[in-house]
Amino acid sequence: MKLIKLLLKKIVRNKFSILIRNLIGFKPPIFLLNLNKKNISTSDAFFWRTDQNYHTIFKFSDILNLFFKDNSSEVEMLFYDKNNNLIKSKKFSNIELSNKLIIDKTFLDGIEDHGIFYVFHKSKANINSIIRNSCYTGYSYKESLPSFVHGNLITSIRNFDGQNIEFGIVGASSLKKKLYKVQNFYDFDKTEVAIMNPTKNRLEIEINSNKFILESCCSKIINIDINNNKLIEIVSNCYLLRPIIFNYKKQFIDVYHG
Amino acid sequence: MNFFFGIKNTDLFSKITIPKFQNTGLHNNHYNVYVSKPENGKWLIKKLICKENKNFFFIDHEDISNDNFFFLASENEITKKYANNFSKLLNLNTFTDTFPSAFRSNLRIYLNEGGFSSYQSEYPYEMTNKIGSILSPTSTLLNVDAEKNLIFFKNIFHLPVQENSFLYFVDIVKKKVLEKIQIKNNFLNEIKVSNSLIKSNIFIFSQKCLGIPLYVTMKDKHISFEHTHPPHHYILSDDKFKIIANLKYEINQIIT
Repeated sequence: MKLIKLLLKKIVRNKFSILIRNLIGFKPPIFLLNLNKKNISTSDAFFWRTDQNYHTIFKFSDILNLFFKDNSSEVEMLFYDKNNNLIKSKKFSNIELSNKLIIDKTFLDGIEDHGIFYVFHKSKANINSIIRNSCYTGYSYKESLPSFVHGNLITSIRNFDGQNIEFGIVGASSLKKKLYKVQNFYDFDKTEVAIMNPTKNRLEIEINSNKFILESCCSKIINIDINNNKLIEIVSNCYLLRPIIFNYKKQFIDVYHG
Repeated sequence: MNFFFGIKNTDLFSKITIPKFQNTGLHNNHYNVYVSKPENGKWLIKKLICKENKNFFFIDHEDISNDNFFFLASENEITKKYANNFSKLLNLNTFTDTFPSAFRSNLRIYLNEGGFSSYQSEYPYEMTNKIGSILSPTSTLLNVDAEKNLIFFKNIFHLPVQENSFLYFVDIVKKKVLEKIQIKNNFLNEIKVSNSLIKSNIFIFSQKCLGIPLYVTMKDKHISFEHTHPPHHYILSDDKFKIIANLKYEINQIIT
């Protein structure tokens, strides 16, 4: 019985089954990720912003050392602009268990804008596991104390050897639009929604009265008009389009996952 | 079923906004908000009268204490399922059991005459049935440049008791306990953290008390507030529970 269960699990998790479930909408997987694979580093999509007097602080862990005692691992970060063009990559070796990176316009060679970055672990070790980097990003506005949020959504995978990278692994329905209604009441001086297309497809997105197209892995920060109900409602074909929200009141900001 | 909780502290106050709808938009306008806390070996459960509109319940700081929490239910569910036996927390309904995104309230904290910070917050019923430990790094969400660093540790346990246990600050590289702090269950414990404990190798570890660690930093009237993920969030493969059990076993060896 145990063997049959194990076999079924393997079948349900393989790439072909995932694609079929996704296509017909039967128990669609949120992530197009084959959990039978091993030695894989997955990354959430983290927002960086250096626009409008922001800088970003990223705090990440040496997951391979903490959980697998592999103290020779390295981390590579890939920085993309809002149109999904690679603008910088940075390697970190000899990392601590917890690490910090400041992403400001100096770090990004003068760029004052926003975009996405990914974090992958590299190792020669064979740990037979899949790890996820879902650490913490802080947003400092006008040099104030950064407001931190945790990682949001797995969107990319790479082998430990640095080969076979894949982006946009969040599922999307081919048939049906999905509503994501943020469970909060909005009553601020200003609210911005940071959204990224985590799928491989071009997405038509509607946020309250704002309609726009976002290509795969592209990102956008929009200053939104809150509707009469003081809600944020996001409609798209993506199974999970969870935004990051920037709320402003007087000189203070609050950043969190919606 | 999810529970929702707030924070009471001398520096800050909190407010909770509980939605009447799921992320998919499905509404339930028949539910009330109930407030609960342990009292004399029983769960004291009362309907909360609070501000509301068609989409939300708004729980004000005056209704929040560090030993209470809130949930959505109908009067019928309370009467039928508890049947006057308030010796154990019950899983009353499935309205707040949502996937892939959890059903969450907004827990917002405010500094007196200062800034505010929030996160989408929930305490799942399943967690209330477990005795375990949490492991969380100090340096990822605390800040040595801040004026004040606090950790709040919230536990909700299914039995209406308040028993003591310990939370340790452990240097996991030097394998050394740096500080041992008494905490209690069914309570929001507050821990002031000195800069000497905010380092890459230092983690907090609770013994026999599961909970949610919440990190607060304050500087120049600004405030940041976020929780850490549990360790199994960082491993996706089937071996995650074994790997984390091994790590926690090692840390248990350090603290005993």
